[in-house]
Parts: sequence; structure tokens; C-alpha cells
Amino acid sequence: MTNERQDDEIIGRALSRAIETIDVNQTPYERSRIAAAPARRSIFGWSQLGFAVVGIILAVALGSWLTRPTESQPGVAASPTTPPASPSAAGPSPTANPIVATSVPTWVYFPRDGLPPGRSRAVPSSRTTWTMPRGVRSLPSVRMERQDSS
Amino acid sequence: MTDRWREVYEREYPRLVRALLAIGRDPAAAEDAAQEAFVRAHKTGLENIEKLPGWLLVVGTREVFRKAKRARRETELWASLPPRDDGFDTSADRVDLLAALGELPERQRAIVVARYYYGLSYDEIADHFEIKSGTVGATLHQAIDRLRQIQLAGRLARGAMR
Repeated sequence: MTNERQDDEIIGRALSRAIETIDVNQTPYERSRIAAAPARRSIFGWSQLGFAVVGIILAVALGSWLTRPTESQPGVAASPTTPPASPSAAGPSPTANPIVATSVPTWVYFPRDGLPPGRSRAVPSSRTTWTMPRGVRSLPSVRMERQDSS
Repeated sequence: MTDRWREVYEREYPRLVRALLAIGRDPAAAEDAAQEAFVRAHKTGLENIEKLPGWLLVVGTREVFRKAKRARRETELWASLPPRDDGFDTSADRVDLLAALGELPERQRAIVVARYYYGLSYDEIADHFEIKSGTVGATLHQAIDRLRQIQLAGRLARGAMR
């Protein structure tokens, strides 16, 4: 076993010497690939990729923080249980009840003796309520006056 | 840093090319694989490579195998070798040995070169080529046995021709 192992080593060394005698074309260092591109590195290395991912995450987080809804802003934060007021729902009745302002103009009709009913646009005095135009009386009060006079 | 690379290159390159030539038997592929191994070492950085010679050999060997699989280019080395001498001398033995090495399977060639030309230990070979240490010993034994048979056959053939 030992002789066999020694024999293996002898052949191995002979093989090593045989390989050493092979003529090779030695490319000079100046013409080697590492000398031609000493600073060659991947543009998208792991570190650059990591920085890019972190940057994107930070940008998304900052953007969502800046555009977050606040309590003072209507719309998204408004309670969905509050029904929107519309002119048809409010009706033409010029009552003193506060009317929720909408973007649709609100008209108030009033009777005129011997003439067709006139109308006046209701102007909101604040964000949620409006005041009745001057000289406009409520329809129930006009009806009551008519009944009294007749 | 450049001077260090130059020193490493000039020390390791010829040996690496010879080893890859012995393994792959294709001079152009051996040079290409050696250059590629150095480029990868350069990218990895000397400080990150523990044993550079073995590292270069393994990377170069893989490159040679990859090229050999793609285009089975062979026999260029053997055409460039000196003509076989009929005399029973050392030069003929060397040629016989190299020819015998060329007849081994790729894996055996790589392990024989790593062991006897690079002087890597069984554990180092096992680690680099990702095989068991016992497999290294068995593979080496088979390879050397085969080399011995081929070399003996060559000697006998030359002796008979005398």
C-alpha cells in the first residue's frame, strides 16, 4: 500500500514536471485584461442597488406623509353618514332652518300680488348656513296672511 | 495596488495557463480562462481571497470546462507538442504522461493537476471542487492508475518498435 502510494507520488511528480515543460504564450501584464480595465466594476453592483432601493422607499414614505389627509380638509375625512343636501331635498321652502351649502345655486321663490312668483338666489352667509334675502317672507306666513285677509 | 497585481499576475499566470492547458488541452481556451480567472479575482479583490493560486485554478478550470462543453475543441496542444521520440527517454515519458492525462475524464484531469502540479491538499481540493475528501483520494488513485497503464503501454510499444 505504501509502495503503491509512493509510486503514485512519483508519477504525480513526473506529471508535474511534464506540465511545467509546456510552452505557453505569456501575455504581458500590460496587455492583460486586468491591466486594460483596472477599475472595471459592475455599474449596478449590490451596493448601488441597495442604495437605490432605500432611496425609493424613502421617497414613497415621504410622499405619502406629505399627501396624507388631515382633519381640517373636507372630502376624504368627511363622515359618510351625513347625507348631502340638495336643492330638491331642501325644497323651495324658505324656512329658517339651516341649509347645508352646496355648489348648486339655491333659489327661493316668493309670491307677488297679481304677478307670477318671483325668485331670489339664496346666498350662504357661512360654510353651512345661509340667511334669507331681505324682504322675503316665508310661504307659510304669506299663506296665513292671505287666509286672514280673505 | 497595480504593482501588487502585476507581481501576482507574473507569478501565477504561467503556471495557471499550463495547468489549464493540461486540463483542457486547448491553448486558446486555457489562456482565455486564465485571463477570465484573473479578471474575477480582480473584481473580488485580493483581500477577499484566502488562497489565490487554488482559487484561480478552480475558477479557470470551471471556465475551461464551460468552454469545452460549448465547443469541443481538442487536439491543438497535441499537434503543437514535439514529435514523439522513439527512444525510451525522459522527453518521451513526458509526452506519454501528458497524452495519458488527456485521456482521463475532465474531472480527473482537474483533480490530478490540482494535486500534483498545484500541490493542493485533499481537503483543499475537496473544498474548492465541492466534493468529499474521500472522493478526492479515490479519484486520484483511479487517475494515477490509469496514467500508469497508459504510460506503460507507451513504453512497451516503443520497446517493441526498437
